[in-house]
Amino acid sequence: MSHHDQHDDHEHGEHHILSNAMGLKILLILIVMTVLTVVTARIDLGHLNGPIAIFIACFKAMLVILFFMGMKYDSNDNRAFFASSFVFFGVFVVLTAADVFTRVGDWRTHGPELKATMMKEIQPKFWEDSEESLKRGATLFKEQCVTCHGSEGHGDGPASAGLNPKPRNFTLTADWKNGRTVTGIVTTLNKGLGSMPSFDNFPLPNRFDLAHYVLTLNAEKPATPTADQLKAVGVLDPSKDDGGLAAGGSSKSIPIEFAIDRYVEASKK
Amino acid sequence: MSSPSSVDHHGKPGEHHFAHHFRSALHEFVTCKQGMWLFLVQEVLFFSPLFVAYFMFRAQYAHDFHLGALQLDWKMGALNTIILLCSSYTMARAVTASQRGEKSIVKYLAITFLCAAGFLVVKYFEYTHKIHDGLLPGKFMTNPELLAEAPKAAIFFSLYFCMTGLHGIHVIGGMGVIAWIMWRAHKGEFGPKYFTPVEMTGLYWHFVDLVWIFLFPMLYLVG
Repeated sequence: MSHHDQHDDHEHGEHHILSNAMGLKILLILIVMTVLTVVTARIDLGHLNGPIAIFIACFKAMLVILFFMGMKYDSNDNRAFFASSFVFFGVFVVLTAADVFTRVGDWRTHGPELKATMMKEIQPKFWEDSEESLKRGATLFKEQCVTCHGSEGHGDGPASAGLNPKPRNFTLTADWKNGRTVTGIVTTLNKGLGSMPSFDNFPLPNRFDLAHYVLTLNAEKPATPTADQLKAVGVLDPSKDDGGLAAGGSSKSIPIEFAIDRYVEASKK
Repeated sequence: MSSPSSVDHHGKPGEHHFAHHFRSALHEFVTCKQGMWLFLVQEVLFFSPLFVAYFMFRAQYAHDFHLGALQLDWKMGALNTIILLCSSYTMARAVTASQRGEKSIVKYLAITFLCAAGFLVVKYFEYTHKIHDGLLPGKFMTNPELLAEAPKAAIFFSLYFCMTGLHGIHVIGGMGVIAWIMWRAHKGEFGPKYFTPVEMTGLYWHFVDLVWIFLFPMLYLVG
């Protein structure tokens, strides 16, 4: 708009007056579209409901922009400005989606495997080492621990670069904060340690599985836990097979991946 | 925006004179309008993070979002949609009236203002109901059924309150501007030669309507 000739203003700037009849017509179409969007949303069309609602909203928005806001009669500059904001919005959506939906720890890939590993019933004497327990521990380790502790447990996972102090190297035996014992590791899983979060959302038997597995990363045999030590980490009564736990162990909740997987299944029913 | 210095432009009281750095009244008008559109571009980007967050979380927690959305009253949302659409229409009528120099501009601005107030009253009832049911953002969500069945609905309610809250602030701001324009229209400041503030307020108000056109189906209908 910075040209010097007077007629330039007339090219872009002629005032357009929206007639009352036209305004009313637009309002009626908008109200009809609102009724339509409510009606279509209340019919179950599966995955189509969302796109249809957004499509109708876009159509309504176009009417408001073109007629009420007068974009139909406005200059190309102003059209380009306003359109550009939606282009940038599109860039924002696409780049964010490209990040969120391509992460390795993605809920789509991990749900089913975790589900198979999670214990549905408490195994007798779950705090004692067994081949089954080590197998579950290895799977859980691969799913939940390698990002920081590394696939071999050297404390050199991809996320370890940003951590200080570094994640524990499980192949060394010295200086374990809570002690290099089953109950020591379960204590760390229960409470978290430094940058490591608590993993008390796992059922307690699965925390023992992890502890047993982690202890196999060095050949040195750890001390056997006492009844008091077991009691301190949640095995209330080691004389009973279930350790005195209520069904399901003492987990507060279930891991997010596992939960989402269950929700997805439930929503298919 | 009356001209502070130029003697040439002095006319009868209440008449608008374009500022000295513009070539003409029309030049002033198109410049103002361009500035207004740029402001609206910024407004789209201002709202866009919330929309992006909504799309990303909804894709991940579709089931929880659906259960969260079922807690909203679509009738209230539809009522507010109709109210805002009507207010957009009356705002457009107010602009037309000012362009034609008709007295009805004050009446149409008043109806627009009342529609905005009505929108907020409906929103107030919705908010109190949500608060009463413990349908609150993040860790404040205390609704027992949702905590058990759909814990991630807490994210839905975070987005619900952020999006409708930011929109509500825009409605309140719009009411302030409409009241000011109404006062100036009452004093007879606007007419066929000068209606810039009325048209700019109209653009803003239609934008507020525009945001709601998307919020209604996203939050109340398909969740």
